[in-house]
Amino acid sequence: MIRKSWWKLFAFILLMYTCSMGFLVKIPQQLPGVPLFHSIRNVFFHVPMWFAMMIFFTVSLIYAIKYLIKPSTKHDIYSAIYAKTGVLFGVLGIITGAIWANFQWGAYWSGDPKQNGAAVALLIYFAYFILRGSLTDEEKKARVGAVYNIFAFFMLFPTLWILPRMVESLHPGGQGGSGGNPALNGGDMSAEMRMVFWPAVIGFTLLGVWMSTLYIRFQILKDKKLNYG
Amino acid sequence: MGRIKLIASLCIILFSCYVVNAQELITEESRKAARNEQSIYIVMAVVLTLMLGIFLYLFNLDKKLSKLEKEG
Repeated sequence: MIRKSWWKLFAFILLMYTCSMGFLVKIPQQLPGVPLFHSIRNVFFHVPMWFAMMIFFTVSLIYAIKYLIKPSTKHDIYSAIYAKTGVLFGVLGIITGAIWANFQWGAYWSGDPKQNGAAVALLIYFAYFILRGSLTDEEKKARVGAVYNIFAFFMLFPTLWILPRMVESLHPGGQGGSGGNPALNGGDMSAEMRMVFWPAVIGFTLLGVWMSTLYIRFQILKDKKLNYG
Repeated sequence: MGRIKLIASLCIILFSCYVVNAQELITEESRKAARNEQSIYIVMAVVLTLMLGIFLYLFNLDKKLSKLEKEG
């Protein structure tokens, strides 16, 4: 049987709910700002990618700090793989955002501050894997990787959370520099939409956690085989 | 008896042809509108199928890993 399966079933149910209600839920006809029509439904799929990415990068950071406090291979594996899943979700977020932007803003990439910031943040995480890959000594790889991981995480503050808020953005809430959240405003969604949006965030995050745990278990098995096999 | 049945069924077939034709003539525009409305459900079905496939894959992979962990 699969291990500790209740939350995996929960993820399945949440995502089946998201993928059906995401298409069925009534959307408000009069949205503030530019009319989005049915493309507003993307909010159930595109935005959870970023929520999940930030959660995975946070988990990765926690394990990096844990490694530096008490070095163990397990902590290093957890840290590296959660960063990997975070990057996967970030890349998916960028691609889905570009598809949506092409329809809504007229171009796949229009140099929106949030787009550029997300791209820079992801490039910094790409460098994390290049750094790890370039070191052959396992202990050094883990230690240098953990230190760089902390740096990469704190680069998310300017690139994703501060700079896009200081300038005008095409993202909702970014017009006129009113200082809102240039990605998501509580008031932008109707109550019905929020009933789909938050389950979507939890569902996609749990899916990512599941994928990460599978990868981690594979990595641990592989290490075991290398050490004793 | 058999002949009456045959004629009746022929009549039904012919009549049903008229019904179908009439429906097509009257509701060509509304049929298009209905198809337009329904098209989102096709996308929904596709996405649900994808999700189902991904989850089946993950469940299987999880099972296989558990088996390996037990052996090792």
